[in-house]
Amino acid sequence: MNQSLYEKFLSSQSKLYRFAYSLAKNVSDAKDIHQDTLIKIWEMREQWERWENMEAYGMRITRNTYLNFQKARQRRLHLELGELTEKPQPNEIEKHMVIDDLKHQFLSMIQPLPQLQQNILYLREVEELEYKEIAEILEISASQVKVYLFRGRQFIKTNTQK
Amino acid sequence: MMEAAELKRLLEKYYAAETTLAEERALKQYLEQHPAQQVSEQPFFQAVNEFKLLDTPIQEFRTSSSESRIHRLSVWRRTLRQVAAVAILALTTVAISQSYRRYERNKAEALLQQNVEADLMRISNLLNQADANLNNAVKNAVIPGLNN
Amino acid sequence: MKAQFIILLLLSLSFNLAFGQERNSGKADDSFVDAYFTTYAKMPGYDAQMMGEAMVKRLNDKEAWKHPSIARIMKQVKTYKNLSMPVTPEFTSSMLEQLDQQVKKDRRYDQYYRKVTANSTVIIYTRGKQLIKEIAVVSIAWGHLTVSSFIGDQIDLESVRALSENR
Repeated sequence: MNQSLYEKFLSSQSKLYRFAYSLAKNVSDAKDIHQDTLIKIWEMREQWERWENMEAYGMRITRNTYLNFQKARQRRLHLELGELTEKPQPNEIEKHMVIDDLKHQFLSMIQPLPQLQQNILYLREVEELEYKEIAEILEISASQVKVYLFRGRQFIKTNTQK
Repeated sequence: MMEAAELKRLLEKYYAAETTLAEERALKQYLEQHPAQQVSEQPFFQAVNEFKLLDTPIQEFRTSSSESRIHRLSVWRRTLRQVAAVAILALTTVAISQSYRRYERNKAEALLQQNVEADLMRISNLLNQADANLNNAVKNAVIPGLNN
Repeated sequence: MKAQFIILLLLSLSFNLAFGQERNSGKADDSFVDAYFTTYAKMPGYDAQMMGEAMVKRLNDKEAWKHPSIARIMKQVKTYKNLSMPVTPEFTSSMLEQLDQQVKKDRRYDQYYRKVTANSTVIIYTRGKQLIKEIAVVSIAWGHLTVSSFIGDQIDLESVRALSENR
């Protein structure tokens, strides 16, 4: 294995955790998603040399891990909620998070947006990625990224100028 | 100092998603350095900067300060890989046991429980803020009085 | 004299019926959420849920709370309720105004702390003078309202305050 790739793997950890946190919006789920992601990347170490951008690839794996995590949670909820009269939704925690801590206010600000717009705003504003890189991570086209970024920023504009 | 017209033009371009990354960095940096501009975007950009400082709790893969020697010493590379492999094994075990425990628990309860915990922590933070603000207000009101 | 007394009695009864009912629109055990927010239940995105006494007890028995300090506080709590819904700035201002009026008229709750910034409002309410029977928090930030309430027989505010220091 190429040493520089290994170092990239080590150094991309914080970025991947931050992305996992921005998706899960709570520490315990973010840690689980992050751990699963690291394990997946490590298991693919033979392919690292073929990856053009390890960080972008890691972020894509993080997002897919999160989506699978959400699907599994939803399935379990359907199975286990028979006995409850009031039915909480899978994204309950996200809805209830009104974050007072300044460090997490960014998530609070983008929370009302659809998930994809949240992801795009996060990747552009926090991680400062190019449209092409964001498109690669989210598996959509660069022009879609631009459109959603436009909508996300318009939302920020409306809400900051009220 | 950026002219007001230039700042306005750049902000419009930013909202239209027409800015390059370099322009966006320059815009954010400028607003950070000139808080007196008082544009309404400042809280958002400030929140973005604060989020970048999010603590990363994962430490298992971090190498020590001897990282620079890794290039020269292949034995270190091997050791490091072994350490990483052990760490991954440990992480896998933790992940599996955690997910098993989670599966055992009623998920609806878990969601509500997390809301309760987060809310209690939030109320606690607010009560502390209330105390701190009150203390500051008392200090500001009393100390100048004493000086007089 | 007798007639005047009867008129006074009738007046007093009608006063009690007219205002007493409004003041006690909910039951004595109702939470802050039930008292002031059920009228919004038909609004889009309104989402309320409750952790009843049995669930609190089961979690206490299972020692499921992630922090011993939280476990100690939850032993004082009987039920927990919360709601969330998206709100517009216009709705927020009228809702807060109405809430202030209702709480003032109701007199069951005391406003313990209020923090208002350009983009958010957070208010903590308590019920009970000597013994705190309920702590409720109303948060509005970035187009989202959440209200949470903890009900018990005797909730120690100091334990709740110390929680973030002990974590």
